[in-house]
Amino acid sequence: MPLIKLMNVTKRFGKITALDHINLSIENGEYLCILGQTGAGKTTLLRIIAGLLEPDEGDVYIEGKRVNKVPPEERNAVYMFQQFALFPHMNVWENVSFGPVIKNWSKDRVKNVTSEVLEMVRLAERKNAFPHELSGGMQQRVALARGIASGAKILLLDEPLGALDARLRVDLRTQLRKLVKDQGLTAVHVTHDQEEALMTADRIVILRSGRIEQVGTPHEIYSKPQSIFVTSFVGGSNFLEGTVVEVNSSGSVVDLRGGLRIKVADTSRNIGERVVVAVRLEDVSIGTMEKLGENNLKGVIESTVFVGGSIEYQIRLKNHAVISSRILFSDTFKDFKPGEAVVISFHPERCYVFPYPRAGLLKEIEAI
Amino acid sequence: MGLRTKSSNVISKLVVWTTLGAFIFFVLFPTFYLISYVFLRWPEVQLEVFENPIIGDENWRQILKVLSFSFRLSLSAVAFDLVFGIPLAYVLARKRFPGRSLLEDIVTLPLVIPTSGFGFATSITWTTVAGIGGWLGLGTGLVTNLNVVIPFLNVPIVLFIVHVALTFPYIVRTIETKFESIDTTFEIASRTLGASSLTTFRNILSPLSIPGIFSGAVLALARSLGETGASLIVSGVSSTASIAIVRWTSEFKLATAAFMGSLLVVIAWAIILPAELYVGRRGRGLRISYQLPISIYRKIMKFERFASRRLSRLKDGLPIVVVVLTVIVPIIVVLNSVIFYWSADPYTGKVQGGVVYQLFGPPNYFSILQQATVTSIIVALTSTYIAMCISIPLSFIIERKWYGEIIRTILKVPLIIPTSSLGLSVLLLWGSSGFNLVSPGIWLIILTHIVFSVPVIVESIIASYEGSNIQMYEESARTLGATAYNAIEAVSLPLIKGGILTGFILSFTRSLGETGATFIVMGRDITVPALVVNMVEALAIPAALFTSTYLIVLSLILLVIIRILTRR
Amino acid sequence: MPEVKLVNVTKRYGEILANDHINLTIKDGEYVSVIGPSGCGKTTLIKSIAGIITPDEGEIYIGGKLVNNIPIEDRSIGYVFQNIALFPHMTVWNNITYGPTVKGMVPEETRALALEMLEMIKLGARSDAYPNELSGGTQQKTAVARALMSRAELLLLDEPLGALDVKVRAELRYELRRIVKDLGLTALHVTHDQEEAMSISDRVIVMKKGRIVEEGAPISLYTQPKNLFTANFVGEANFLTGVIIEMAEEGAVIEVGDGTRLMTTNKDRSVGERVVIAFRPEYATIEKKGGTNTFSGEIEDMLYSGSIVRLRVRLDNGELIVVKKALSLGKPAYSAGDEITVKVSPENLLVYPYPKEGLSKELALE
Repeated sequence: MPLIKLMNVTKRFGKITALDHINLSIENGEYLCILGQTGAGKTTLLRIIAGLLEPDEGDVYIEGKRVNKVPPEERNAVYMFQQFALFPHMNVWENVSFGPVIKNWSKDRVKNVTSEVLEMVRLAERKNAFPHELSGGMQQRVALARGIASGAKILLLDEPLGALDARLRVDLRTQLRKLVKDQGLTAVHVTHDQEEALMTADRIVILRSGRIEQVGTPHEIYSKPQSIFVTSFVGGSNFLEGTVVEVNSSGSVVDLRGGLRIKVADTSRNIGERVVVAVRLEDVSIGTMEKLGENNLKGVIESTVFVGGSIEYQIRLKNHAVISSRILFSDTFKDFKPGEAVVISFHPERCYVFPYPRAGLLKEIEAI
Repeated sequence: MGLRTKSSNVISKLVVWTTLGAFIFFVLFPTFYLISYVFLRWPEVQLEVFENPIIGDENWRQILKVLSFSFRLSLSAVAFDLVFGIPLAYVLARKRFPGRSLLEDIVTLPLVIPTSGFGFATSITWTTVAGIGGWLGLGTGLVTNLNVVIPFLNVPIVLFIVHVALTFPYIVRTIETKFESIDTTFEIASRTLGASSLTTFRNILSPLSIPGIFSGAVLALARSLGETGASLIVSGVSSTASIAIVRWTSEFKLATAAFMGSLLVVIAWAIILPAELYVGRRGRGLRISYQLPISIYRKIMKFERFASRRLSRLKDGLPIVVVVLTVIVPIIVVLNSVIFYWSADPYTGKVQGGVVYQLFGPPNYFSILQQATVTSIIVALTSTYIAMCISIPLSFIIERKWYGEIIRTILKVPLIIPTSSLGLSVLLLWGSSGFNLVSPGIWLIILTHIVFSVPVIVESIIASYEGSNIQMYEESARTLGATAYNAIEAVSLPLIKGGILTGFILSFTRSLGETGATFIVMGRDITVPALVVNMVEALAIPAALFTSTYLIVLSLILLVIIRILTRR
Repeated sequence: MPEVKLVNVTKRYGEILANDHINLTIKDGEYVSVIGPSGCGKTTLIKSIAGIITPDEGEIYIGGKLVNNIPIEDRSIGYVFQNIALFPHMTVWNNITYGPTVKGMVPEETRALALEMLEMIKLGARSDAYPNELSGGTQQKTAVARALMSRAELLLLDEPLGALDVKVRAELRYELRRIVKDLGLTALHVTHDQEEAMSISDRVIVMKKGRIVEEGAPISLYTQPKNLFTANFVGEANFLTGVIIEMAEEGAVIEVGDGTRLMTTNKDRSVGERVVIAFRPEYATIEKKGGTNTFSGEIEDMLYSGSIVRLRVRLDNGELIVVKKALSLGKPAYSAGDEITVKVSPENLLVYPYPKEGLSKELALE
C-alpha cells in the first residue's frame, strides 16, 4: 500500500487551474522530487498533501486513510518552508522541541529526542542560539531537526535549498538525501533545479501547468524522456527540425533543413512526417578526423563556453544550424578553438524523435 | 482523531460567534445608530430643524454655518499638514541620523497628550504674554486674541495651529509607514537611470505611496472634524461642528445635534469613499513626461536637480520648525507658566491667582482633580480591557475568514466619525431615547470609548500580524503537530505581542485624552480632560495650567513606556 | 570609456569589514564577475561603484575620473537588481523610456532607441504590459533593457539571475553576455553561483571576508586555483592531507594516508612540509590494476545526474573521494561495491600548504 496517494486531485485559484486531475502514489521510504517551473503547481501539490490547502476535487490518502478533512496536525507530515520558518522568538532547542512539547510527550522523552536530533544535525553546541544568529545552512539543519523531532514520517520540502548559496546547495543536497534515508523517512521535495532532482530523488515527477508530464526514476527521466518538454527541461539538448524520409528495420533517416541527413534508431514515425530530433549536448562528440562514427556532420567551432568542469562548444553546421556539444574535462580532454573546422557525430541510439508539436517547437522548449 | 477535531470545531465556532456578537453589539450598533435615529425620528427632526414654530429654519442655517466653517478649517489644516508632513515623513523613513527616534517621538506626542490640555497650552503660547509674545518682548501675546483670523480662509489662527498640531502625526506617521514599505531599490533604480532625488520622488515614490498619503489625509481630516477638547478651549467666538454638537446636546436640542452629526458623517464619507475607491484600484502613475513640451520638461528636471542638491536643507528644516513651534513650544510654555503662577499671579501679585490657592484653597480643585483622575483611569482601563477582549479574537477572524476584509472596512468607520457624533450616537442608543439601559455617567463613557478602542487595537494587531509572516509560522506549527488553537497560543500570540501591547497603550492614551464624546455622555462624572475645559470656562487659569501640566507629564510617561515596549 | 579602477576601497559596518582595501581594475569592454559566499562583501563592492554606498576609505575611478563625490544619477551606469525592481506602476514601455525621459532626451530619439532595445530583447509585442504580467525572466530582460537605455557603457549586475528558475537562469546568462559583447559594454556581475560566473565572464574575482582572494580567467581559476578556498569554491574537488617526503626533479613526492605516495609537479615546497592535495573529480581515471599515482578503494555509492555519474570511493586508508565520469551511451560501467583503482596524473594534482586554522575552516562556505 502506498504511503501517500492522490486521486484526481484538482485545485483552482479563480480562473487558474493550479492542479488538474493529479494521480500519484508515493511509497513508504521513497524520496520523491517534484520538478517544474515557477507556476507549475508544485507548491500547491505539496500544500495539499500537508493539509494546508484542501483540494477542490479528488482525494488524498495517507496510509490508506482518506485525509481530505483531516487537519495538518494529524497527518504526521511536516512541511518545511524555503525560508525555513524557524520561530524567531524561540532558540534552537525550543524550536526543535516544539513538536514533542506540543504533543505532550513526557519530559524525559522530549529531552532525549531533542538532544538526539540536534546531535544528528551537528548543532548541539548551538542549542541556545536564536535563529537570526545562525547561518543559512545551519537554519536549514535546525528546520530539518525540528521536523524529525516531531516524529513525522513524511517530510514535505518546499525548495529546501533555494535560500542557500549555489555552491553550498551542491554540498547539502546529498546530505539531505542521506539524512532522509538514514532516518527511514519519506520525502517529497519540490524544486525547479533539475540537477538537484536528478541527484537526490528515487523518483521524479515532472509537473507542467498543473499536469504531470512524466514520472520516473532519474535515469528514466533522463534517458527516456517522453516529450520535447521533458527533454528540454531535464538536461541540455539540441533540437533539430526535419522530415522522415526513410524507415527500415534498423532505424529511420531524417532529412534536416538544408539537406543534411541523419540516422536515428527510432522507427515509430512514418515517412513524410515532420519531426523534431533531440540530441543531448553530451552525446555530441567532436573530432578533427573525417569519420568519427555515425551521423558525421562537418562544421566550424563558433564559440566555446566554460561551464565549471566541462566545456560547451557551439558548432555551426553547413546548413547554418548550430549544434552544441558538452565535453566533460578529463585526462584525455582536447580543446578546440573558435574557427576550427571539425566533424561532429552522435549515435542514432541517442537521438530522441518526437512529432513536430502543434503549438510550435519554441513553445515547448522556451524557459523564459 | 475525529472526536478531537469535532470538539475543537465547536469551541472555535463558539469563539467566533461570541466575538462577532460582541463586535456587533459594542461597535457596530453605536457607530450606525445616529443615522438610523435621524431616519426613525424624521418628523421630530424636521420640526426642530426646518419648521420650528418660533425660529423657523434658524437651526438649519446654524448647521450650514458650522459645517462650512468646520470643513474650511479641517481641509486647510490637512493641506498644510501635507505640505510639511510629506517631506518630514520622507526624512524619517529614508534617512538615518542621530536624534531620529527623538524626532519621531516628538511628532507622535500630540497623539498622546490629552487635547484639552494641549489646546490650553497652545492658547497660552500664542495669545498671552506668558508665551511667544512675552519672549519677543511684545508685552502682549503674539496673536492679540483667539478671534484673529487668517485672511481668505476666515479661520481663527490659533484654532488652525491647534488643528495642525493635532493632525500632523496622523499624516506623518501614516505616510512614513507607507514609504518604509516601499522597497528602496525602486528609488535606487531611478537614480541609476539618471533621475535626481526629487525627480525620483515625483515619478516613483509618490505614485507608489498615493494610498498611504491618502489614508493619512483621511485620518487627519477625520481627526480634525471630530476634534472637540482643544477646540472648546481655543475656538473663541467661532464654533466647529463638533463643538456645536456638544453645545446643542447640553441644550437638549437633540434632534438638531443628531441631524448635524449624521450630516457630518455622511459628508465625510462622501469625500472619502469615491477617493478610496479610486485609490483602491491599482495606483498607476500619471504620465506627464510627453504631455509637456520638451523645453519646459527639461526646465522642470533642471529645477529638480537644483532643488535636490541645494534646497534639501530647507526641505528638511522647515517641517522641523513647524513641529517645534506647534508641539514643543506650547509644552515648554505651559510648564514654565506653572512655576510662574505657583504661589501667586505674577502680574497682579494676587494670591487668588496662584496655583496653590486654586488647588488647595477654597476652590479646592485638587480634590476634584483626584476624583477625575480616578474616573479617567477606571474608564481607560475598563474600556481598553473590554476592547482587547473583542479585538484579539477579532483580529484573527479578520485574517482568516473570507468576510474579514468586510469587518476591517467597517472598523474604519468609528475612526473616521467625529467623536462628538459618536458620543451622541451612544447616548441616544443606550440612553433614555434608545434602549434606556444606561444613563450618562461613567458606564456610558466606557461604552463610548470601547467603540473607538476596538478599531485602534485591531489595526495595531493586524499591522504586526501582517508584518511578521504569521501565516507561515502557524502553518509550520500545524504540520509539526500543533492544533489551530495551540499554534495561535504558542506561535502567533508571542509573535504579535508587540502589536497587542502597542494597541493597548494607544487605546489607553486615546481613552485617557478623549474629550468630545466624553463631554456628551459623562453626566455627573468627570474625566481630567473635561475638567480642564470646565476650569478654562470658569476662568480658573492657574488650575487649568496645573492640570494641563499634569496631563502632559502623564502622557510623556506613557510615551516612554510605548518606546520601551516597541523597541525590541 | 568606462574603465573602472578601485584603489584601497574600504567599508566598515560597525566591527565588520565588508570591504578591506580592495584594489581592482576592470578594463574597457571586459566582462568581470565577482563571486564569493554570502557576506563576503561582493554586494558592498558593486554598490560602492554605483554610488549607492559611500566607502569609508579609498578612491573609485570610472573612465579615469574620481567619482567618490558624484551622486548616483551622474555616474552614468546601468544597474540591474536581483529583485528586478521594474517600476510596478509603469508599463514596459514607460519603464524603459524612463531613463532618457528624466535625462531630457528628445522624444523621437528616445522612441527610436526604445524600439531598438525592445527588438533586442524580443519584447516588441508586449510593450504595453505591466511588469506583474510578465514572467520573471522577461522582467529581468526588460530591466536590462531599461538599464541600457540611458546609453550607459558600464553595466553593473547585482545577482541579476538570483530570483529566477535554474533553467531560465542558464538561458538568460548567455543572452546577457551576448548583449554586453554586442554593444561593447563593460560589465561587472556579482553572483554567488560559481558556474554562472565561469560561463559568462572574461575574468572572475573570488572574494572572502571582504578581501579579494584570487582572480583570473575562468579556466585557469578552475584548473590552477592558487589557493584552497578558491579550489573548493569554484567547483567540486577532493582534498587529501599529506606530507612531502621527497623533492624529486619533476616535483614533490607526497605521502598521504597509509603510505600511498603521489608524484606531483609542484616545486615550491620543501621536504617535511604538511600539505593539502586537491584534484577535480573529473580528472581522476579508473584503472584496471595498481600503478603510479593510484589509490585503491571500494565504490561506496554512485550518484547519477543525467549523463554524469559521481562514484564515491572509500579509499583503503578510510578517506572518501569522488570520481566523476561521463556515461557513454547511458550505461554505467561500474556498480557499488566494486573494488577499483583510481589514478590522477601528477600535473592534475594541486598542492597547498596545510592551512593554519585547519582544513575544514579554510573550506567553509558560510
